[in-house]
Amino acid sequence: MDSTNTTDLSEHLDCVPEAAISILAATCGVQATILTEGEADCTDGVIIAVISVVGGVEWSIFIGLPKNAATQLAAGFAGFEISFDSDDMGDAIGELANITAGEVKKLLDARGVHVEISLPSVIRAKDMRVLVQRDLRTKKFCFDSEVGRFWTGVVAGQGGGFVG
Amino acid sequence: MDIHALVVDDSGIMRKLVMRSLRESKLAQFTFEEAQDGLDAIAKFDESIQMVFVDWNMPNMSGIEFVKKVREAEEGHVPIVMITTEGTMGKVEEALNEGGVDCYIVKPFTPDVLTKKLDPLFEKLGGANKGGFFTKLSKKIA
Repeated sequence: MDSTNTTDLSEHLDCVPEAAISILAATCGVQATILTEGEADCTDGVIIAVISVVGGVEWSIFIGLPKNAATQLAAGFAGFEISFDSDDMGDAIGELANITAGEVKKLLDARGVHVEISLPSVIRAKDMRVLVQRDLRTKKFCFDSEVGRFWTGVVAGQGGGFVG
Repeated sequence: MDIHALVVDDSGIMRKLVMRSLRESKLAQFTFEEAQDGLDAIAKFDESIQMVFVDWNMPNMSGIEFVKKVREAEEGHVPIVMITTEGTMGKVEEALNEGGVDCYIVKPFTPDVLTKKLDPLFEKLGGANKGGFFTKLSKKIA
């Protein structure tokens, strides 16, 4: 069955944290669990990767990694140390987001929901707060892991939105 | 084994990871960020490129477009390996059946998986097909 409801976040949303957990385990050897409450501390710096998913669902998927988590995940992924401020860091986190979105696509496809994914965009900043507009359909998942806390967010709907 | 490989991926970190894996297989590599640059390199190096690794999702020219351009122009058959996040059955079939890709690897992958997938291609390269895939290809692409 192909989903035509492009703004209902409640359906299939579980694909995003499932993909994030499985891909981080497979690529970086990091076991993550979803937190029921709490935030990731981004005061030292944060890197956020964004990928659009279009088709059976219309989502923007965000992956937010505080500096410490990003540095350790990138090293686990690449197999060598990567400075947080380097171009390689953007590439590594963008690629992790790309692989995660690919897994989301595969999970959705298995449910009969067919989508295409965009190339990743990566934003790096210091002390960034995540502000979510109330009129958009949004969901944020916070995770805990041995590399610290991080988060994923999903914004659904037509016309896009902003999470910054 | 002295094989020259071309790696085309817009992600710098993926180019490094693929190169590192290939180095363990003793392949010499030329890497490119843009598909068009990869095509230009094939035209320039002519017969010396014996295996191609390409990502699917890239800006400006997709990996599948790149593969089709190579297939249209070649006279022999260069082994092309697609390394991508596109893991759905439809995409795999499109690449293998319509695109003319020889080997399909879904990210994430480990160097071991890459080596195992490439073994059959190396065996082919060791035979009569070694070299000469791009004879006159440079003239067709240029």
